[in-house]
Amino acid sequence: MSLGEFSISASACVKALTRNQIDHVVTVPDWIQLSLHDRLNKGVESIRVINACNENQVVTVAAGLTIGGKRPLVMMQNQGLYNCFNTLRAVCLDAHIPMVFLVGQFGREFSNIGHPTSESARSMVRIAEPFLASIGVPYHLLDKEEDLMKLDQAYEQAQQQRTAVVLLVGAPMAWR
Amino acid sequence: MMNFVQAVGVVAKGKGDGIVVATMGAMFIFDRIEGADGNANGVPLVSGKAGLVLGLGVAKIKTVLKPAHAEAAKGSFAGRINSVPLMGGAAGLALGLALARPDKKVIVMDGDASLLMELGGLATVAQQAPKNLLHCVVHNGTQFTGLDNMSTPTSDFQFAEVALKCGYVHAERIADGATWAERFPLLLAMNGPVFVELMVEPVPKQTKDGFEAWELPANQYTRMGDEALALQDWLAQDAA
Repeated sequence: MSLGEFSISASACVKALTRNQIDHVVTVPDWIQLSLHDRLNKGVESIRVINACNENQVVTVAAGLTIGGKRPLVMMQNQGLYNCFNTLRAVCLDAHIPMVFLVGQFGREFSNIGHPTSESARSMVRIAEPFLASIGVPYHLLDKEEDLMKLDQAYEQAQQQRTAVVLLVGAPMAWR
Repeated sequence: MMNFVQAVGVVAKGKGDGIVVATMGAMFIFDRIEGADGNANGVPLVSGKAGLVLGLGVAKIKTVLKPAHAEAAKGSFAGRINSVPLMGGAAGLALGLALARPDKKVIVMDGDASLLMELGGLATVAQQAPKNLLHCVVHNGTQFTGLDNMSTPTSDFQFAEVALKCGYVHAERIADGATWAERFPLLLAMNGPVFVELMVEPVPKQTKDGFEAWELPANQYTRMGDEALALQDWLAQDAA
């Protein structure tokens, strides 16, 4: 199956990052977003990449950057999101430090792409949306390239509501 | 070994306009000894040796470590944020702050149990190599120090040695208060990341049959957010 329209290009994503004046990307790498990682690691002017050993550190480092006046983006995969839930709770839900997450739906069957994730056979994929809904974290789906406008909205929403906002990347990003 | 108040008091007395990130045990002590201006003016100097904190003795430690509702309600000075309630988060917060504000010194007062939870954070910090970061760990081998003193998973862990091998520029272990007071300004002035393992006596436990738990102040669950906003404003004014 061709991923076609569901595969967001890394170059379009980098444009969205620079348009939003993101100055740091804090991350534990995600298989779904490999092409974006590759672009960022090759060097994008004005964006510093910080690799952390686990997702808890990703969240706390991003929080420190935000308090210090920077505008970070957090990148991880769905398993990492579950791993750092307590840190997200403390930092974004209780301490109300705004943060935008790009989270890849690792493990999603290609046959499920274009269909509701509730129909996925993989728990890591299937539970992402109900998990975020249950903990009160706003989320949006990045299923097509035009959805990248949701990144702009996510920063606005995170700032206004002083919370985390998660963008779920539904399919492997394209290498272009 | 030094006592907990000496370990924290040296930082409170000598931090200057640096940012402090603390874990819970150190937070209780900072809350008691810092004034509203963030200075520890009430902490005396002894024999004219700057920063040598002996005035607050072991006898007071039990009350210092017990959460005080009044101090908690007062909150921290704007230059301090506490990773509470979030064990393991201090080094990451400090790294982000240090990278965002390379013009400011950032001092972490970590706990041994907290650092063990996020030991990989040493590698994350070392890889980013913030020159303005001084990472201190209170090594007392206990969790819920001064309350129940449960043992940490390992009591003889060599934190300084591990930090050095992870790539910190300098790391050392200090066991007495006088040496700590003398070394602190020198370590703070160094290009980091610098790591200091402070060997601290466990505070005597209070729990026993018949002990009654006290409720933690409500503010303890929300203060990190208030401190984040205050620190953000303080840093923005400082940059202006």
